[in-house]
Amino acid sequence: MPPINPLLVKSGLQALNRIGQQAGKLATSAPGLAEKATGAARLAAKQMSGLSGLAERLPSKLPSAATLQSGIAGLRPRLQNASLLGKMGRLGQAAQMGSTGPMGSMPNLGHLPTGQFGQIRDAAQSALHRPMAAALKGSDRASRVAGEFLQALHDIESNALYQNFAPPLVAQMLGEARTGLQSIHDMIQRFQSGLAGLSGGPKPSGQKPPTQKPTTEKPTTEKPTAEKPTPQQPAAARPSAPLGLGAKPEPVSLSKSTAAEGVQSLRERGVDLKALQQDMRNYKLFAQPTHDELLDKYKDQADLSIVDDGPKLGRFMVALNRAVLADAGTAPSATTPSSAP
Amino acid sequence: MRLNTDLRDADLPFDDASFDDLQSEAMRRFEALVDRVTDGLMNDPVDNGPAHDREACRLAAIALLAEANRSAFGADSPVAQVLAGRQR
Repeated sequence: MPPINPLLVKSGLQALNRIGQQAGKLATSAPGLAEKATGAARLAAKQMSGLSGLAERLPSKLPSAATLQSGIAGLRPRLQNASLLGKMGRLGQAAQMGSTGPMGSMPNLGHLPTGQFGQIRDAAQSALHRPMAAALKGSDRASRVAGEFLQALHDIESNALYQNFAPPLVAQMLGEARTGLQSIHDMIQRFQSGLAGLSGGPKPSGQKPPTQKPTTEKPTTEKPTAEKPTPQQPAAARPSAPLGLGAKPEPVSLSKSTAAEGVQSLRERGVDLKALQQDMRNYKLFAQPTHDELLDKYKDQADLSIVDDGPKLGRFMVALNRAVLADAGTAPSATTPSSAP
Repeated sequence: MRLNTDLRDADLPFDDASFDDLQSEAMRRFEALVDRVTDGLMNDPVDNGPAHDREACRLAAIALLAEANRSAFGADSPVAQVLAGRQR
C-alpha cells in the first residue's frame, strides 16, 4: 500500500470539521435531535484527533487515498439527514463500549482497526458500499453475493462493516460463519477427493495441467472409456455369475471389472442407472445417503466399495453418466456401454 | 474496484460438468449461510434507533464471512475459489 498522502489526511480533517459544524447547525434546526447532533460533533472531533496519529498507528491498514476521499465525499450528504444523526449517536455509545476494548478480545481480529478509527472508517465505508453493491449487481443474486464476498475478501476496509454491531453478537456470528464455511469447505474436499475424475479430469493430487483450462480437458478426459472395448460379457466373465432365467445374479464387483463392464452388468441386473447416478452424487456431495446406506442399497446388485477409490470411481462415473445420457437419448457418442446389444 | 485476479484465474482441479454441480451446491449453501448471519445481525441488541436495514446487515454479514474465511482458511480457500468460478 502506498504511504498516506499528508495532504489527503489534512483535507480529510477539514472535511470532518465541516461535517461537525454542519451537524451542529442541523441540531439547532431539528427539534429533538440536538442531543444526538452534539454527540455527533463530539465524536467527529474525537475522530479527527484519532486521525492525526493515523500513519504511525496503522501504517499498513490505512484506507487507500481514493477510498478515504470517496468516503468523506459520501459522508457529507449522509450527515444531512436525521436518521444518520441518530446513527452517530449510536456510534458514540459504541465508542464508549469500545474504550474497554471489546473487539480486542476477539481472536483473529487483531489486525483490524478498533475503536473510533474503525467507526469513522465504517461510516465512510458505509457511504461507499451502496454504489459498490449496485455496481456489483449482476444478472442474479448468486453472482452478486459471490462478487461481494470476493470483494470483501480482498478489500480490508469492508471488514469494518460489522463493527457497528454488538461485539458478543459479532463473535457469535463469526463462530456461525466459520462453522458454515467449514461445512462448505468439507463438501468441496469430499467432492475433490472423490469426484475430481468424474469426467476424467485431473486427479486430486493437486497437480494442475500446465496451461489447460477445464473446458479444454474434455476431449482427453473421456479416453478411459472410449479406449475400452464394449464387452458383450458382463462382469469380466465371472464364472459364478449366473445370468440365466430365474437365477439370481451375484452382485458384480465393480472394482474387478472395467467401468464399462460394470455399468453393463448393473443394467443387466435391473439397476436403475439414473437413480444410482443420483445416489452416488448425493453421497459425494452431501454424504446423504451415507457410505453404508449406499453400499447396502445396492448390495444385491453390486459391490460399490469403489466409492472409496477416487480414480476407479471417476472412471466408473464417466461410464455411468454416459449410459444415463444414452438412455435419455442424448448420448454424446456411439461408444456408450448402453449402446451395446 | 477489483476482484482478485488470482482467484478468478485459478485453475481448479475439476472439469466443467462436475465443477458446475459442486459450484451450484456451494453457492446454495453459501447464500443460506449469508442469510443466517444476516438474520443474526438483524437481532443486534445494541441498536437503539430504527430497525436495521436488511441490505446493510447483509453486506456486513458478507464482510464477516470474508473475515471468517480469511482467518480460518486463507483468502484463497477452496470456498473462495469455487465461488470465484461463477465470476469467470
